[in-house]
Amino acid sequence: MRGWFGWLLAGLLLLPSSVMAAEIRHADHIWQDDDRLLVRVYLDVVLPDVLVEALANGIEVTLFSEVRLEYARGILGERLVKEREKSVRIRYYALSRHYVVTDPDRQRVELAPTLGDALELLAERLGRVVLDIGRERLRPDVDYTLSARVKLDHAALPLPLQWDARLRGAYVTQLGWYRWPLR
Amino acid sequence: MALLFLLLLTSLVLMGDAAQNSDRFEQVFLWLLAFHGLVLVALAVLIIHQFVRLIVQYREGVPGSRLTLRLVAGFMLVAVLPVTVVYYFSFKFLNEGVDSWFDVRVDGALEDALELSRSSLDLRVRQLSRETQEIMIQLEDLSEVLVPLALNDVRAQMGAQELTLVGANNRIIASSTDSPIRRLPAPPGADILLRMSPGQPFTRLEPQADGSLVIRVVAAVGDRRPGGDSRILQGVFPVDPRMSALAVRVQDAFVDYREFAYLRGPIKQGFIFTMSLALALSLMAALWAGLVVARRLVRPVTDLAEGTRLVASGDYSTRLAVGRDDELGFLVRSFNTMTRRLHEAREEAESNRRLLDAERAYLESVLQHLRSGVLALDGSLRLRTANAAACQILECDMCAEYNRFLSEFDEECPLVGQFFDAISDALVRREQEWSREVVVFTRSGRKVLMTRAVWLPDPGNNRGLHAIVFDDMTEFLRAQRDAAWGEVARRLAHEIKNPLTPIQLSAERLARRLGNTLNGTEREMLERATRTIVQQVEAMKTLVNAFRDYAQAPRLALAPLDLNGLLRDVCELYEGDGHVSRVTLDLAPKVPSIRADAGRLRQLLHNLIKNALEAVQGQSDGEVRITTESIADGHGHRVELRVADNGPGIRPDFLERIFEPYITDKPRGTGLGLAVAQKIVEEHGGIIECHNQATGGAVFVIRIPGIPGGDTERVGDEHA
Repeated sequence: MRGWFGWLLAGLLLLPSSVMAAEIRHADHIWQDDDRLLVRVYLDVVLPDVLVEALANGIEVTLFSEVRLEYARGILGERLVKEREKSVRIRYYALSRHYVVTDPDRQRVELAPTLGDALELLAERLGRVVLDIGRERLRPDVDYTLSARVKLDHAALPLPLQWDARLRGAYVTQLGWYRWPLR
Repeated sequence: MALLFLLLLTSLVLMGDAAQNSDRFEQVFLWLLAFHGLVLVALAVLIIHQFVRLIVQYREGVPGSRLTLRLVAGFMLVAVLPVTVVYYFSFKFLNEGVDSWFDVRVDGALEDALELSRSSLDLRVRQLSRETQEIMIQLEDLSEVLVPLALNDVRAQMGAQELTLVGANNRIIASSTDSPIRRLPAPPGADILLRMSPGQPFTRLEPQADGSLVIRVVAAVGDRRPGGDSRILQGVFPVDPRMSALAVRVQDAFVDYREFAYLRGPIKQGFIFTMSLALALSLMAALWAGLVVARRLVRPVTDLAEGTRLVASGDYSTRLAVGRDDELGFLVRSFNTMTRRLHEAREEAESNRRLLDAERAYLESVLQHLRSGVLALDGSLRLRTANAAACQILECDMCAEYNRFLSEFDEECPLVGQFFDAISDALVRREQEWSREVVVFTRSGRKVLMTRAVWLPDPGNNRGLHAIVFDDMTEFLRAQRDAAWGEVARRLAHEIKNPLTPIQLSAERLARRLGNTLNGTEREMLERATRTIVQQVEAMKTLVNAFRDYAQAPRLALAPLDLNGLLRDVCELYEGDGHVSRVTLDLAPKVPSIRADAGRLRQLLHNLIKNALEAVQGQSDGEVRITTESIADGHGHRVELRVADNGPGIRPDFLERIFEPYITDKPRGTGLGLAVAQKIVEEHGGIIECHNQATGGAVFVIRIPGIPGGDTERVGDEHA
């Protein structure tokens, strides 16, 4: 009995996982005004097959982009100054055979006829993040760093898929931090 | 154990709860999974450890291991069978039951419904596309000043939400909306422009954030005026709310169904995983609990087995811990009561045995110190006990020869053989109580043993015990005889000696008075008669004096005396005394001095030498050999004097009584010489023995205590 269960668990855990192929090609920022810093992250996003299949079957997928402004404190590590998360949802709209990209920030629904277009749209929406921070708060003698990453919102997936994600690790869709200095 | 089960149950409940709640799943799933994994590993380790221990104990034959193994096997069977059955049917139900929720016909119907909605909406889209193209043709000749006015009219006529005319470079020429609060219309996006084809308007059904549907139509025409650019008209038309709602509902149902169908695999996997985890945990926990419970159940039995083994090996102090109040506890308590009673009985028996040993030792000590000989024989006449006095009297070391038949001592111990022959008839008859005088013969004479015996039957079995007590009465009887003879001698001296002098004087007076009055013959007869009377009276006086000497209490003048010197003095008297025989002295070089009366010892030596010389009288090779020797043994230093001759020896029937008065084999002996000799030796605390030599002749052996440290140097052997 114990052996059977062990093999089952090992099989579930050792199944090959498909990682979201996303890459931050480049990132930049610009002060929109004295209180808002617009961060632009240029992404290439390719969903794993299992999520593509899930999308095709009507499951909505939510991705997060996280942007952080911080500075180094030596051995004490990084000190966070400001952070912002932005989520963008994508789903397949069977009635019109389009993919729908929803940006909750902008209360806007955008359509894309193909998944590639939808992912480009998604990358575009995820890559535009505004940090509300006053420029005067930043000390000129400190080197600030901006960091950005993209990750899948597991909790937004249906529970069975969360099981699957947890057990198989098939939805490891979190990129490493991309860092660049604040000018 | 209960805590572990509680934890497991709680974690399983939490896991089930997390499976229903997305947020909680995100928070606790991994922790619960790790916890269950740890519990599984811990249980597996515990079970393997217990099993290995159990198998080792089973192979080593540890008490209780076999029973434990059987109980565990039983528990396993009881736990595994129903759980496996339940698991099998649950697994089957999940696999087949969940699949049965999905029907191809439902799938097809939803597809058809969706397609119907699409077709219905497509009709509207094509209509709007055509109408938009017609409007575009109407607007293409209008100047940019007139277009906004025309656009408002057209929008109102077509019922559009928004109409936008875009010129070159995506410049909005004019727009019209149905609501003033609606934000400004946006020109068509690049994605739309790229997908537009000449003569064919772009159409798209678009869902709105509020869930409603709109139809976007984008048509392009050229400006037919001189120098005119191409223009794009974009129209956004609302879909009839009822139709929109129906279409969205159909689409939502379709999507939900597809989603559910798609998720059935993960759903099943999740259920099966949870169920398998619960099954594995339950089985492992049941197995471990079975092992623990089996051990707890078997422990009293094991303890009892071990306790029984200890009791069998003689350890009655074993007490088992009573940790329960059931039948096994009752059994353990009974066992403890039994061992306690056995222990008490054993202690009592041990105490009695010690008491008996002490009694036996006491009796043994008394027996060993008794001067009477004591023998104990069992019913088959095997020797059980013999005290030291018995060994000494019977001249046999029987104390180390227990369990031998008494008759078997005949060869090495002749006295025992004689003694047994004399009493065997009474022993065989098992007479209850008897006594008799037993006479045995030794080389130095006979021994008179006063023997008394009792038969002690053992009512418990057929074996009994002969208790035989005997005393060597020889010396006592001899002393008794000596005393009797002493009394006789004293009376003789008193009653006979007194009349002898008057008789002698009267006879001499008769001879003197009547000798002158009688004539020759009568006178000669008188003289002869009176002379005879006087001679006989003298003889009687000599005899009476000898008796007097024997009977008189000694008045010894004891002084340190060199026996060798005394011997040399005495033997000088026999040199040239007309004796043919030789008297030879063989004196030890160092002989202790003795405390003795020289006169009495001289009388003793004369008696013995004279007696020996008479024994060899007439023999040409007659020889009297006198030797001395110093003896040191447990009784101290003694001087041994031996007077031996090579004559004919002493008649055996005389040998026993040779030292008694009036016992003599000489025609003219008084029979008092050796009696007096014995008396002198005893006056000096010594002993005298007489026996015949194997080479012929008799030897008298005298042993007299020496003075410690009073050695005398040897002067040299002398021969008389």
